[in-house]
Formats: sequence, C-alpha cells, structure tokens
Amino acid sequence: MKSIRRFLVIILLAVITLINFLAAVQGYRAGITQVQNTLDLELNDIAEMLADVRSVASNVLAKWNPESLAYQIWEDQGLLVERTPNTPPTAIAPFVQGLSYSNFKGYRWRSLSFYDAEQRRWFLVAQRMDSRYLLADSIILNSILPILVGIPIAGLMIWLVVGSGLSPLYRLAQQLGQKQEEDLAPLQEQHLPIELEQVHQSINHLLHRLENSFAREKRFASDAAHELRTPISILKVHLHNLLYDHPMIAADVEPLRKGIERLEHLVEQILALNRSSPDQFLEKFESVDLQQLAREVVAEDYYLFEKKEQQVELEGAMVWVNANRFAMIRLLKNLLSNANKYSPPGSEIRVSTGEFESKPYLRVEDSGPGIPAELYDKVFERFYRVAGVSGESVHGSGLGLAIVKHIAEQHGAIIRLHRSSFDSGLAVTVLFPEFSLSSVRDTVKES
Amino acid sequence: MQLLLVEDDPALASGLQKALQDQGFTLNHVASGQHALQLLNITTPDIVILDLGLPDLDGLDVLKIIRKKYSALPVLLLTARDRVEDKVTGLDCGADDYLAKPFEITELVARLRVFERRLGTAQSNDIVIGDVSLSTVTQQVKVNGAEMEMSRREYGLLKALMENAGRVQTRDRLEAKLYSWDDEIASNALEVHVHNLRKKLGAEFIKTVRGVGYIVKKD
Repeated sequence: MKSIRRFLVIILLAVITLINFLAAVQGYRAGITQVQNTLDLELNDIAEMLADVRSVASNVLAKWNPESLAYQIWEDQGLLVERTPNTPPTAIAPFVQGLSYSNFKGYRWRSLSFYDAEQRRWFLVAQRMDSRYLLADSIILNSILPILVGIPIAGLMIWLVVGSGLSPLYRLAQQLGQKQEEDLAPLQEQHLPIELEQVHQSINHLLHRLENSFAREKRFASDAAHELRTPISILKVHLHNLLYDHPMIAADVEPLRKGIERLEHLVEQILALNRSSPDQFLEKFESVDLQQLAREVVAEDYYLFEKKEQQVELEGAMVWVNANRFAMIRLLKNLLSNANKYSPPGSEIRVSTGEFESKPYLRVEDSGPGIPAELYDKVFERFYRVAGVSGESVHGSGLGLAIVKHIAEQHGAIIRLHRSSFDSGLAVTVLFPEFSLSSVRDTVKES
Repeated sequence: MQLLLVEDDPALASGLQKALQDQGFTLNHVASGQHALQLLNITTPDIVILDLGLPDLDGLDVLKIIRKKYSALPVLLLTARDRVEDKVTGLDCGADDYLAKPFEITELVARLRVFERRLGTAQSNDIVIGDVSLSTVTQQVKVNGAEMEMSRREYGLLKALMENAGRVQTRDRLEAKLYSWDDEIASNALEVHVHNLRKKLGAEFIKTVRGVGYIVKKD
C-alpha cells in the first residue's frame, strides 16, 4: 500500500542527497583549483626562500617530504649548482619565469622557474602532482563527510516531521475507520489544518446528504407500504362481498384470495423491515416480559394454527428483556408463521421462554420436516425460501427470517437454529443479552 | 343498527357499505371529517366507524370532537397506520376499538356485534355457539335449552370467551377481568372457574391453549 509518509521521506531524502552531491562535485572542483593556487603560491614562496637563504632552506626543506618536493639551482650558464636527490641532472623545468608542468622520475610535477637576477641563478622548484591531489582530497573529504553523516539524521527528522504533519489526516482516517455501518453522524474533528478542513466539511456534507436520502428512501418505502393497505382492504372487502353473493365461485376465486393474502403479507414484512431500522427502533426500548408477549402473540395468531389443526403451546417462565415491543412482536410472529407454514397439519408447535446461563431466550420449535443443518445459514438470506412439506413451495415473502435476524441483531441477540425436541422439526432459539435494569435506564436516557 | 362510516376512499366505502348491509346494518357514509360532524348534528348513529386518514381533518381531531360532544357514542377506528403508538394514541383519544387495515370483514363485524350487545340494540341478545346459548340481557346460560346455574364470575368468564369466539383469550386478559370482579383471587382461580364451566358445558366447549389461555371455537 502506498504511504504518503514513506513517499515524502524517500523523495525528500533523494532531493537532499542529489543537491548535496551536486554541491560536493562543484565544491570538489573549486577545492582543487583553490588548492592548486595555494600550493602554487607556496612553490613561489619556496623558490624565493631558496633564493634568499639557500643554506637555511635546505634544512627547512629537509623537514618536508623530500619525495614530493624537489628543487634545482642552476647557474645562468647552464651549470647545475645544487639539486635534491629526487631530481635528474637535467633541468626539471624550462628556464622561463613562471609555472609549468614537467615529468621526471616517473611522476608528474608542478614546477616553478624563478630567476634571481642579482645572483644570476635559476631556482627550479617542483612538487609532485599526486601529493597535491591527496591533499585536495583530504580537504574536500573533510568538508563532505558531515553531509554524508547528516543525511540519515535528516531522514529521521523528515520522518518525524512528516508524521506529525500528517497526524490530523491520521485522526480523520481513524474516525472514518471507526464508523459503524449505519452511523451517518458527522465527524467531530477540531483544529484541522485548512487543507483537511475542506475534506472534513465535504465528508460531513456527504454524510448529511446520505442520511437525508436514506431517510427519504425509508419514508418512501414506509409510506408506499402504508398506502398499499387501503387498496388491499378494498380488494378484501369486495372479494368478501363477491363470495357472499356467489358462494359457489369460492373455488374459482381461491387463487385471487391467496394472491391478496400474499400481497398483504409482503406489505407487512416490508413495513416490519423498515420499522426495524435502528433510528426507528431505538426510539422505544423498554422492559418486555417475553412470556407475556408470547402469550399475546400466540393468542392473536392462533387462527393460523387452528386452520391447520396444529397444536400450539407455550411453556416456560416469565423472563424480561430490554427490547422494542413492536419489533419483538414481529420477530415472534415471523417465527410462528414459519413454524405454521413448514409443519404439516395436525403437528405440534411449542413456544418456550426462559433463561439459559442467566441469558433470556425465546424458542419456537415445530415438528415439521426441519431444515438440513447445512442450510441453516442460507435461510437468513432475504428472499431465500425452503421447500415446504413434501417439496411443494410454501407461499411466503422469503423475508421472514431475514427480518428475525435483523431484529435480533438490533437487540444484541443471537439466533441459533437446531433440531427441535420433537421427533423431527426445526427449533429457532433467540438468545438475548443478560437483562439488567440499568441498561433499560440507559436506553431510556439516550432515547 | 345505524352506523356512520367516515371513509374518504370511495371504493373501500362502497365495499364496506355492501358488506355491512349484508350483515343487517344500516349505514350512512360520508367522505370527510367536516361532513361527518355536520351529519352528527342532524342525526346520531349508534356506532361511528372512523378512518383516521381523512383528506380534510386529522381523524384523531374528529375523534376528539365526537368524544367531547357525544361522550357515549362508540367509535371504531380504521387506520392504515398500525404502530403501537398510534393504537395507544387512538385509544387515549377515546376510541372504543381499533382495526388496522387491511382487516377481515368478519373481524369488523365481530367487533360491531360486541358494541351492539353492549348497547342492547342487537336484534338478538343471545350469543349462540353450538349447544350453548348465552343471553346478555337475562344473564342466563342454556345448554340444549336447559338452563345452567352460573356464578357471576363463571358467567362473566363464559361471556368473555363466547363474545370473542374464535379468538384466544389470554390468561392475563381473563385474570384481569376476574380481578375486577373479585379482589381476592387464588392463583388457580381461573382454572377452577374453567373447570366448573366444563362440568356444566361439556369438556370440549372451552379449549385450553396450553400456556396461553382459553378459546371457545366458532360454530
């Protein structure tokens, strides 16, 4: 993954190194010239010194590196008066006043010819070029070394500075990263640099618009579903009247009745799904007795079981959960409706409530064919439908368990599918988090 | 039995009109809250069926006005909203009953029959299911024409079950009624009363839904 920090550190170090390198090359060249000039002046000094005090000079010169420095003293007529051992018997420089280069004894030399008119003598002084370069190198190295040592230090400092410079961006990214899926609340980040303030504002603006459009979409779905209720009522009333006047067409209009029933069911499920969205739902959390709620819901939906001559019973104890009552009713209704649909006529259905390891649970068991364990996960998908008894398709929206799961999640509850305690059949257990009065108070305070 | 239906949707109104007339109710229909209030000034029906979603006035406001002017007039609300809160608000405003769309006509008729009996305007004040007939006027219960002795509580329990035939009456609901009749009540009072009723009416008449409550099935 690309990192701005790493990128900046590498690029800045590369730039610094390049500039330093160019500066060093330039410095090296200038340094060499400077050293040449200085040493040339030195040569001149030596020549003059030789001319002035020859006897002393030889002592002075003896202290210097005799290898790299050489001189000859010539009489005007071309007679060699004196020479250092590292010079040949021939002249080491032309008898012309000034600087020049010469080669002898296998080295290249910088030489100076100096004519002292008073003594009528030539003083030829030479210095080995390689020793000159050596000197220049060491001087230049001394000036470049701090730069070389400085680059890693610069790198470290750039790393830290870039890091602290990017910290508002990190904080912003962290806030975004920590956002829950459904959380569209604006980001609360203060003291942002101007470069990020725009981003911050844009994100908040976007979140706001997103929230509005979600709200609009939800309202639309809810309104549309509500609006559908009146037309469905119209269909039902007129169908009822039609059957009242013409009881013999009952069989012919049965598909019509079923179609209306499905439509009605689907609309209710869409409303339930919509209603179980968090904003709707945190509105009203309260202490709910699962047993009492189950009693009311089973009583209300008893006709479903009566139609199929199924035995339904409720067992267990009073148990409290912190829940949205309406959502709980929908959850249980969906579970009951599934048990009713997927169990054969005359079978048994059991609803139980209680506590498991001090966690409240609600369980619906049927004595139908059950579901193979490998399909347990699939049934929670929206619009997934299991084939009913003996393989025929059972009418339903396929939303029921998806809604159950959704509601359970909103309550921090876990759903377990397992074999029922009847000979066959499915058991659905909804296990709620431990109930505490304080959690109720908290949610009441929040809402 | 004179009904006033306040419903703005003509297709639903015509369907309801026909269905309720088939059941022997007389029905006046208006399509707005204003018309409903005007009509109420002229003639007072026995029951008002009020749709909450009206074009001109909020149904709940109409309900409040009705409640203020005609405190004894039973009002049954119809609404496409079914949130628990709506229900509570509707009943708080003085509605006597409440049906969420889409509803079964039989359910609507059953609710109207309960009003009817309460008002004493029913053509017959007897609820007859199978062999058992219960007179809401004389408070007599007959099985195959033979009168059965009933305690006040047994009669109340049976009436609650028979009035709501086909619907399970939860233990909570029935117990609440027993409490209102008798302050001191044993924990198994409900079972005792049901047991006594079964001795008089036969074991099958009142069916137990285990853990939930009791039901008297429709014919």
